[in-house]
Amino acid sequence: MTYLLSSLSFGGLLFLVTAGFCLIFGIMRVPNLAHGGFFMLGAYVGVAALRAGLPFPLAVLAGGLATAALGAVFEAGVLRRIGNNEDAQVLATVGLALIIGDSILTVWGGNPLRAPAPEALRTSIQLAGAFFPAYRLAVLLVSVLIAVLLWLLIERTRLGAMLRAGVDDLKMTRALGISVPLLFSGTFAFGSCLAGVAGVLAAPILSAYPGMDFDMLPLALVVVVLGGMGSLLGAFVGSFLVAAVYVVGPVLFPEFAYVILFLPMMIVMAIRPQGLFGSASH
Amino acid sequence: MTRFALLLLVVVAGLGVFSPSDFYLSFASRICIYGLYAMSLALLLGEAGLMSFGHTAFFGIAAYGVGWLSTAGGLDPWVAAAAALAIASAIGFAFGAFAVRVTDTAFVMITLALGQVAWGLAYRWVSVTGGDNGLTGIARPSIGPADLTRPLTFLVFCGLVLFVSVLAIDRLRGSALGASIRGVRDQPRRMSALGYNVWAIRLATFVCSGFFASVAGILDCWQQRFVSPVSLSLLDATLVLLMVVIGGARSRFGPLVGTVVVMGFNEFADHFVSRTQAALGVVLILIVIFMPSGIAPWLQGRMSSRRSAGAPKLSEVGGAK
Repeated sequence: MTYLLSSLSFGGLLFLVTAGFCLIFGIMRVPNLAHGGFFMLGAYVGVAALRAGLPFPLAVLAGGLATAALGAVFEAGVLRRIGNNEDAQVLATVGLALIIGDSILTVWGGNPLRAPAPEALRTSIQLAGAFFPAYRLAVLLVSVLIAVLLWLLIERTRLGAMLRAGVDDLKMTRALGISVPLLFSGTFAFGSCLAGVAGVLAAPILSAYPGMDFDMLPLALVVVVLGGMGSLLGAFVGSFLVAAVYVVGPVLFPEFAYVILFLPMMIVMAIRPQGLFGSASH
Repeated sequence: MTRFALLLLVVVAGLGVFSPSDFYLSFASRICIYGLYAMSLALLLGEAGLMSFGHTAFFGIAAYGVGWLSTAGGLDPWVAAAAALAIASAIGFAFGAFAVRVTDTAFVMITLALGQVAWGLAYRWVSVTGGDNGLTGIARPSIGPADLTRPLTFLVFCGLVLFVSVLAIDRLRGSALGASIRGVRDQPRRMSALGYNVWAIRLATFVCSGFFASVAGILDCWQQRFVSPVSLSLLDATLVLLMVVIGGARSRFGPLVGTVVVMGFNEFADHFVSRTQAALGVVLILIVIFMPSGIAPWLQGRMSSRRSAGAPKLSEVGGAK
């Protein structure tokens, strides 16, 4: 039961990270390998904000805004200059990941920083005879809430319609008079923002430590590949699936933890390269 | 090719005579090893147009293979090396068989997964790999009277292996298979319509590329007399890609140039800048923006445009993807 809840809350976090990745990939076709870096940056900014005495919601906001700003600058300053060269995009985002990782090491040092959970959520809740930390439940609820909001945003609003149009046919979208550069900057900033928010929410559970970027990125990639590139539903299902394997796997097979995480992904890729929920057209 | 052989000979001989300490000899050996590693990856990225983040797997499997077989396995180093090469190539074939069904981003992702699985095994399968501590106490072999434990002899050995490999890679690029590899990169549908088996050609490239990476892995294991999961990390995969891209994935000796630049930077830049990784990231982004086809083609273009000072050559125009 404890495993169930920790895998559920971890799945929620993972979904926030991969949702941002999916949005960016779905619309811009950029596999953003700096996404783990944004997650880590969010966590550190969140910890710093909490230590400065800000209340938790403001720390979340700070983490989200910081990563959104960096994302927007990187998109406008670097990605736009590269154009459609996919290899170059991959490498540029790797470059950004290195810069973020090293800068964080310089500013905050190499020791993990623990973040306190918000005061009200430091208790445990008894459910079905077992105790759960309230904070983890809250993280799960918040990420499901964000998932629903994202779904509403994409399916029910004008902005969402623009995003969907961009995913389906970028040329047509442009022809219809939608500003694609603005759409791209916005998407990249928003996707980064989601990673940053996930980082702050993760800080009280995982604490902020150097290397969390490259711990998280492969997981996000597995989710994306499993769920199908650019599919939010796939990201949602994939996140909880991968989180469950990630949490339970090492208990069952301590020496092969990583293998049982990536094997399902390889099998899916071999049988269904577009992923479980992806469409074959892309 | 003869010019390359001469250059290699002059560098090795020069270091042998003038090197003030063994440090430069082993640094040069590492350049040879990573140069070969980068060239093997360039075969995949430049010729076949497939970007792999899992190349570390072959390097690492071969290194761990030769390390484990010659210590715990009790085999002769040469037999162990041959066995490690065979194992790594077999894994390359099995994995490549379904990896090359996809290209572009999907290929990046699936190779990244391979690299992570290999890293995870090296890191967690403690009973075989020694986990974080790696495998230690690996001996360098000897060839008749030549004792590879001497730094200079080992450098000569690495130089020879590099030269032979470059010769082989050059042959491959110039062969009919090489032409069809480039054909598949540029026009997969047309090649398929012409009756070429696109999948088989990509698979052949993948296996060859993995083979040369394995050779580099074995050399690296002997060089350090130690294997650790670090050489399988995502950061190392990135570094090798960086060498290839900086130098120019499609140019003949570009990857070697890139290796010298990146390794020199890693080794000596900490005298000038405090954060080498961040600086590396900046360099990577700048190169991608301003020299998308790499340093070597950029330099060549510079030199030839100074000579002819006229219209850009066709090769330059076609160089950027």
